[in-house]
Amino acid sequence: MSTRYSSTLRKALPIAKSAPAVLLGLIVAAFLAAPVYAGYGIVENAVAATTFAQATDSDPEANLPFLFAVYILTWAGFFGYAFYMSRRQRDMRREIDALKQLLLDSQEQDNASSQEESR
Amino acid sequence: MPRTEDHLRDVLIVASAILMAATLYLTFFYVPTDANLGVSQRIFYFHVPIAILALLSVVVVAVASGIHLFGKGERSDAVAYASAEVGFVFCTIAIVTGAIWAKPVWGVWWTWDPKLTLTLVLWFIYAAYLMLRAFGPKGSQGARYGAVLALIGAIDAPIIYYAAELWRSTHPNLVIGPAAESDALDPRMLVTVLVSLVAFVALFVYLIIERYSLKKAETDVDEIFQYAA
Repeated sequence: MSTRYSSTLRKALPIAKSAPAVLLGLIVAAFLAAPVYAGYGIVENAVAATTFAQATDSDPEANLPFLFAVYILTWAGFFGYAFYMSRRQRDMRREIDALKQLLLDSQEQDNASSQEESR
Repeated sequence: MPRTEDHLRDVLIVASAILMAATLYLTFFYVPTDANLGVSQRIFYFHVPIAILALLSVVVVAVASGIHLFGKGERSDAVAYASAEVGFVFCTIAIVTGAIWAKPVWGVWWTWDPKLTLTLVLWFIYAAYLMLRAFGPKGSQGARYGAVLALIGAIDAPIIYYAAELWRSTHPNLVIGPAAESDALDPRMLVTVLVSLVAFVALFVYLIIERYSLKKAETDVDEIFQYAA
């Protein structure tokens, strides 16, 4: 019975250790979400937004740089991620090569020791 | 790696490339320009599908984490991790593209609007999950902590979706999904956004499969190293 309790405690201890980090994360999230329940900062921006949108309406192509920026950044993001994945694959290939070398070395050692034994 | 999975990956990447080209054509040559927002409204055809997939991804992470937590499957943990990483990329791009759209329309790069704020919270949830998996306990313990975080974090997804309905918001109303009005979009705009959505879904699934197989291989190599040591 006591063994079961001690194993449960052992499992619970790391969770308790990570509690401050979880608490900090929740506080940061609550701080970030504060304007949501307070509901401030929206009306002023809405007024500014309408005025701004109306001001730029006169020239329909005025916002083309923003459109191109979105397309460029989106593709840069995806290519960046693809590049990151290819780097990870390269690292893994290196690790597999190291493993192969490790196996070869151990095989050579085994062969050498068996040859000595046969002599 | 089974051959069917290889074929699926090939099909997905080719389908994604073809559909992306179609999306570009539809966005620049087919769809009409919005009367109020002008050219900047075309950002919507990239931003909306990416944002939807950022939300969907955290649901995938939560479901896979739940399966891992209650079923103890190693594969489901790899799916959860892969989905979290891809979701993080999609969420980052959604926030950046949203900010670029906001500047010409709202006059500001960022505002503490409910939908934007909750999306930023989602970004932090993804970041916390990935940091926990990278620097937290290794092995099954780290996977369990991550699973719990993912299950709690997924609550944010439906709240983000309904945020514009629940609170006063400057963010445009829902145009796609169960809560959207049936005539919210011009039919040509709807076709364009749906084609774009399918293109990004294909890319999303491809990236998850790719990351999943990489994660599995990394775990296998680590296990062999531990065994060899």
